[in-house]
Amino acid sequence: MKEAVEKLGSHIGTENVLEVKFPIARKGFVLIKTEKLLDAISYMINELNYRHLITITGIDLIKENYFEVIYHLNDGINTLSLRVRTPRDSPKVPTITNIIPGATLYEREIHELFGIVAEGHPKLEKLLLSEGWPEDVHPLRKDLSLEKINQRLEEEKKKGVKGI
Amino acid sequence: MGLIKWSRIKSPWILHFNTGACNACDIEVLAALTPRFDVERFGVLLKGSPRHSDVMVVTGSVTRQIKDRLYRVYEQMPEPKFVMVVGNCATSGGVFQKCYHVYEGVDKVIPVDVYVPGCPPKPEAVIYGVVKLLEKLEKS
Repeated sequence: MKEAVEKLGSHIGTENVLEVKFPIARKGFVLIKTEKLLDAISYMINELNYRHLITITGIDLIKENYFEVIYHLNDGINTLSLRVRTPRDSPKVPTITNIIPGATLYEREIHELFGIVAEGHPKLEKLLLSEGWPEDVHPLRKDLSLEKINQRLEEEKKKGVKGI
Repeated sequence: MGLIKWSRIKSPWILHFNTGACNACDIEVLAALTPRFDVERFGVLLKGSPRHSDVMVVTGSVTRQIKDRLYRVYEQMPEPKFVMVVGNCATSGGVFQKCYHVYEGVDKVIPVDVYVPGCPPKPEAVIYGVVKLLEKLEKS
């Protein structure tokens, strides 16, 4: 897997690859800059044969004040993950649905649970939460607690919103 | 005991509804219907429509998204109707008790007659629950 990482580095330029880790056999984590994300993913799918997108994960790091989004790609034996960081005030990531059409559901899930907007997505709607859930409450952020969510839902119920 | 009450007790037809479970309790309920554990000796049949059934068997923890659909299926059953609840998540929330999207038990949404605890309960425990329900009907 180290040859794959070196080929990726020489394709997008080595100043864009910030951190490389191999914690255990058959797994690797590469931190890259957000502008080179589409380039790196299309290179890994077409040339390096990493064709299977497993899932897209989101992490909320409140002390360092950014979100992290991880794209896991597999080629049958090894798993290589690309990490991307965005600021916490206005989180935005370019969408990869033009390259991999099956990533629509993962980007909808990240949007409704964290608030990360995927620019260029065809239809960004709710997937898992109920229909009357208020639009600006994102449950998996670290600064929301259960009492605040329940208080907010009580206020919405008093106004008469249905389907909570 | 009159003729109508005798005929209702001797053939309860069930409907099975899964409200977002991990499917362990569904496997145990379906295993109780096979010839090895044989709950069909009480006259129980598994039907596909709420208009044909007397007893509704509910598994799984109730989320905010499925609450309206569960209430609508319950209203489509004809009277007299009963509800049996299988598993820890459906009786009191189970491991998901203080989550933001889960109700603590099915009895916050519809009225319940028999509770069968366990994670998941054995098929013998499900058969014991059916026997308790039939005894409760005989006394009333």
